[in-house]
Amino acid sequence: MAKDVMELIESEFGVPAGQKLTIVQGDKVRMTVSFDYLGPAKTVTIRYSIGNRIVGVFNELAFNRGSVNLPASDTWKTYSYYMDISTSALSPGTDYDVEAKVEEYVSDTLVKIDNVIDVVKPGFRNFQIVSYEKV
Amino acid sequence: MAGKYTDITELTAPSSAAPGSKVSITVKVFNKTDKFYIAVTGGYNGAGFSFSPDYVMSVYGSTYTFTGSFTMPATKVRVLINSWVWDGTKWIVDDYMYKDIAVTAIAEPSFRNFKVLDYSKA
Repeated sequence: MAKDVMELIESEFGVPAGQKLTIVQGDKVRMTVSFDYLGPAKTVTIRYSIGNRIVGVFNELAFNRGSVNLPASDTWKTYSYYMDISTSALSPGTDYDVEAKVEEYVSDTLVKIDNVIDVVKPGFRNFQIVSYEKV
Repeated sequence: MAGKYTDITELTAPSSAAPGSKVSITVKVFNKTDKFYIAVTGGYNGAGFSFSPDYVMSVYGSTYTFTGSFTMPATKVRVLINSWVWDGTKWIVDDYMYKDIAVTAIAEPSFRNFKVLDYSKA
């Protein structure tokens, strides 16, 4: 089902967490996370996922992951990272869910946001002859 | 301590620091002669670290401030500071002062406020 053109254009600017993002199948989604960290120097892996939650179980359909080096700190420091997720594995559909977490500290970090990504099928619409003239 | 040409009047450093944290050092040097250039060097456990400014063109009777820093290792350190003066041909080490810095235990890895900020078409 094709979406309105304006809706697609607006979605390219990104949306705050919780709001709906509409993409074309095959687009990449850039997901940004933030968190506070306190502790020894640590290398951890952040996982960014898109999927479907069915009866409370998250079915991960697309993801990306990356390592980050957190320096030692005895006070809380705020960090922000992002990664791009390929969505070629997502079928056209609505209300995909997103998740993010630090893989080594899932219980402290896992966040879930439901029904925030719609995927539309690439295609044409309104193809028509606009005019014809002598040139 | 007291040097022949200068006095290190103040060495400011924390008494303890966590491994991997930045340790900031501030040194104040009093010029009690007509020696023109004054510099400061620092070291701990065999390693050195630099100060800013590299040196100053000093005036008799004035006090100058130098700042430096290093990353705290996993063991306690003794920070040794030296003041230097330029005698016209070479640098001469003059006064010294030191301070011990203990290692503080660092907390277990802790996260808070982990959240997805936004998502966009890349």
